Amino acid sequence: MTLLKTHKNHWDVIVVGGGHAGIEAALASARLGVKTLLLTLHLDLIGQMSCNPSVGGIGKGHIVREIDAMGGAMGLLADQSALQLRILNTRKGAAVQAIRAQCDRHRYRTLARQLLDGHNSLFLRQGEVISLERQGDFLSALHLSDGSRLTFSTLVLTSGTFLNGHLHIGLSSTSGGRGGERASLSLSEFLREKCGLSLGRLKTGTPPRLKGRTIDFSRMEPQQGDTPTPFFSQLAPLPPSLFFDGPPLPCHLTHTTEQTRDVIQKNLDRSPLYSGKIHGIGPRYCPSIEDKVVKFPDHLTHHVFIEPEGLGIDEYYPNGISTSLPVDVQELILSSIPGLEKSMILRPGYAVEYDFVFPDQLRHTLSVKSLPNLFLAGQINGTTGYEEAAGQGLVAGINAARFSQGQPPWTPDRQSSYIGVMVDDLVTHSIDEPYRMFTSRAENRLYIRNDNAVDRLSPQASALGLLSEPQRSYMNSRFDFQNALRNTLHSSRRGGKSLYHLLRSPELSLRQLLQEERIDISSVPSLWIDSLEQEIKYEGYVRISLERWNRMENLPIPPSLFDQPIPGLSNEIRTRLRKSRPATLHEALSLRGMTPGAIDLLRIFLTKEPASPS
Amino acid sequence: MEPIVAPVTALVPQPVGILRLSGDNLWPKISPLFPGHPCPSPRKATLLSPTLNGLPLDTVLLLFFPSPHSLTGEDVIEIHCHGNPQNIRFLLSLIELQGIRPAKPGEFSLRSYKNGKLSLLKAESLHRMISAPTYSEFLSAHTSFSQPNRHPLYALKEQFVDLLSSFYAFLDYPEDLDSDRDSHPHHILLSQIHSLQTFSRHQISLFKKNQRAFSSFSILLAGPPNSGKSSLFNRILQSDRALVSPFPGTTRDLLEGRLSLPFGDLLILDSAGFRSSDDIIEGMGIAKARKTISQVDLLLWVNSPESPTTLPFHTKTKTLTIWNKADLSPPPPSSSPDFIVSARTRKGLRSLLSTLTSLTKNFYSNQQSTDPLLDSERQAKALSSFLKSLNLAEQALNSGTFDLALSSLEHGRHLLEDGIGLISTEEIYDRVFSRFCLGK
Repeated sequence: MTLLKTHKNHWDVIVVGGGHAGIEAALASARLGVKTLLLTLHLDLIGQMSCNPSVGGIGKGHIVREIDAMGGAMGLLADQSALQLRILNTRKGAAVQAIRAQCDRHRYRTLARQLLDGHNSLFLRQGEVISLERQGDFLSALHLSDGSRLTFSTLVLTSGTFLNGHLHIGLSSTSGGRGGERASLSLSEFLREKCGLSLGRLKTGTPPRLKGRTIDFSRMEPQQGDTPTPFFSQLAPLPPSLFFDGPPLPCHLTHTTEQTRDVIQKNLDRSPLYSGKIHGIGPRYCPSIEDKVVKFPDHLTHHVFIEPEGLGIDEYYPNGISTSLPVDVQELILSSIPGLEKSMILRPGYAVEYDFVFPDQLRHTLSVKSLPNLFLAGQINGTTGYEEAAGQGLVAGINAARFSQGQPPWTPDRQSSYIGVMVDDLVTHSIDEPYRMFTSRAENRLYIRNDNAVDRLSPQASALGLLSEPQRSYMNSRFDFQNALRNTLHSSRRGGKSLYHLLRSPELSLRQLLQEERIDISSVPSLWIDSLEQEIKYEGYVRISLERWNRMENLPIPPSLFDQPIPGLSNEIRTRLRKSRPATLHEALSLRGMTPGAIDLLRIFLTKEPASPS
Repeated sequence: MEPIVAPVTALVPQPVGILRLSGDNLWPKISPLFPGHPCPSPRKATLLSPTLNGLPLDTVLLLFFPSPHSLTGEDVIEIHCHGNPQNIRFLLSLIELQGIRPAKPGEFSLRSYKNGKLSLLKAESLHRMISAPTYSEFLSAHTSFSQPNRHPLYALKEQFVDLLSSFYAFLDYPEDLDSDRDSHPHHILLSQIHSLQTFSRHQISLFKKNQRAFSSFSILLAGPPNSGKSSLFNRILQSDRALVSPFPGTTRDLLEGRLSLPFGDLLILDSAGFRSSDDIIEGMGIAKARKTISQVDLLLWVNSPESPTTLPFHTKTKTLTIWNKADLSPPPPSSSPDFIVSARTRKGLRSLLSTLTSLTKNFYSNQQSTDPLLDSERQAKALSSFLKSLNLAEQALNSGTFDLALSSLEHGRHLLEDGIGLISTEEIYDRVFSRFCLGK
């Protein structure tokens, strides 16, 4: 065994897939000092943004900040390739604000590759997995189509939409994982047949990409980035500016018309979605333009955002008209949209159908329950979005590395991170449509804010060994500063009340107070001030909401409950409960197949009847 | 669960009396009463004779509803016997000897609820239905019972899910829904909150208006000791034998009798339940007497020749004075009682009864709505605390903290759930995506 482990072709962790999940998984594993291989179908396409060239947004932007606070890559890559950044929900309260970045797709890939190249314990390899070896409950080796055999201690699969992927344009379809790339056919069969996993099918889609010089931007409303520019990354001294000189690049807003609707309605029979060719379930929250027209026939127009794909590259992404209609219909759709009448298609839009693994077969570590050294992350678990994928990659990478070293697992907590909410949702709920992060999914929303990801997660990351020395010292200086300021606010008084106390009022801002108290903060990153201010302002509300949570949902379920008959629960639900033995009412709530009635019974049972001592 | 039994008809002489049993594995437990007889077919009336030491006791119809297709979800057996109270008592005692205990009040419904046969809302509608003093109120309760989606709390829930889904859509889709960057349609959310507040307040005030100590038109008999109140009580109730069902006072330490008249029930309360003191209104302290008198619709102040007195305090409750035992002595000329009666000889009773009847009719004449209402104090409480969280959300929204407003509403969701049961998150998301065209 020792001989094997030192062998050149043995790896502590192999990550299959070079998308956003694969990048974070491989980097997390390598940062923990574990010998890691990232295996991808195409080395030049690591970090590809296969959908729109944008990172962040509500819920998703929170995840990016959390990845960054854990020492991950996505925040840095997005900052350094950003064409514009802005804060969303600025008027809805600090808890629900998040950053959205428009990125240079090409630069993002290059930076991702450079970041991976820079790690001593991380190696890259191009190749296609054609089979895996299984020994008992463990996977042990994989075979590439070039004839190589690689052995590993743990395997992380982040194969995205490539599992049995099928591309649809109009009524013609081809096997493939993304526009122009081939699919991974045999892996899905292996997971189903050899690993006994239950797989489902989902679909997603993209719009056609357009040539910029054929777009009339003068007929659209420009959407500028914010100045001063907000950035995701907090564990590095902030980049002073965007990577290029000059103003941030704008996006542009236009809209579909009644003519668009008519074109689509007339050609629905040529849509693979509505002619029955596509069986996979698409995301309700990211519908194709044909979906929007069918489901909301009364809406005469829909937004279309024209997003730049890169600096100096004349390609644009019309966000809002993802479609799998044939190319001639795509052209008719474009010609019905103000400003796009004369636009030329660079690449047509398409829909992709792919296999995913029902994620309730995973643990909170993202390892497969029945195969402890196999980890799954990203779209293979039924999620959509780069950020969701990256967040899972981080969790899977950390745990794969720790598993290979015989260390106990680490799992993110639902109460203190969006990543925790996501993982918990996935493994306890499972899914029946692609999973996207919403801020509405987070019960502890007032605490898990965009401004305090470092407070919530960096100490844990540091303890795990995920942070580099500069990241750790940057974290420490932030904490030192905030502790000192917190003490000052507690000890300084005004009108008999501490400044800390006064700051709870919504009318008083910390900056204003510091100015009045003549405390100089000009050299301090503004987020350090903001996060302390929000911490103080939200403290009371966070406590109330946590108390409510504990009272309403976090009711512990005594294990003895599963061994006694619970009056009124159907046998099916009783069996489910016995099988998964949820620790709290919330966990029981999220079990697949739990009916509202059953939850009511449980809640009444748990609150009204004292648990029998046992 | 352990088997229970209770008579479901009153212990008064009548053609048929019904006993109901519920529990697991029920037939083997009562089969000793029917020796040699196999388990009756489910849901078919079977004619049987319970026997004791070979002696047939009665001829009964037995209905067997095996679990789970029964009222309570457990095995249920109904025994229809002859309605002689002594017969019913004896059968009950035989059944209890088989180890089947008497049911506590409401225990059948509780089991139905626990076994998912009856939702909490339905159980409460059922209770209101059974105790409704008028047909219109019966219909109102039955509407909630048979069409749960017409229950006011369901209507409220529908609106509330709309509101939450608006919040979620505005929260997670700022770019899709805000044409003007980052401003959100405050007024849409506020008007939805206002409409929920109005609805909640209206329902609570309707409930409070209808909420009375006694749900029926109620009459209290009071007066000095030995003025013959109890005889009068019995006379009034016995005036229509078929419709009388006297039962012991519940918590009020009063004897209650209900007279079911065609347009609504008449509840008669006899304060003579107390005989312990010489207080002017037997046994009831003045404070308690005042309170009870203020809760009833009509006070009958009963005097008799022994020691005539007047009501020792002023009351707003409509009062009629009665001179009882008129066969012993007529009222003194100084007094002018509304009625002169003799409970013993029935003199003057007809005129008293016809007045009571028309007063009852008047009372119910303006209460004809059959709209579903809140069924219970519990529902009203849940709604009141829900309303408080709506008010907090309104405040938060007005001071520009959308995130705090949403947090209050989410708390409100749990409070509302206390009233109506779980609102599933899936239901809210379904609403988000069916009401708004979201996503790029």
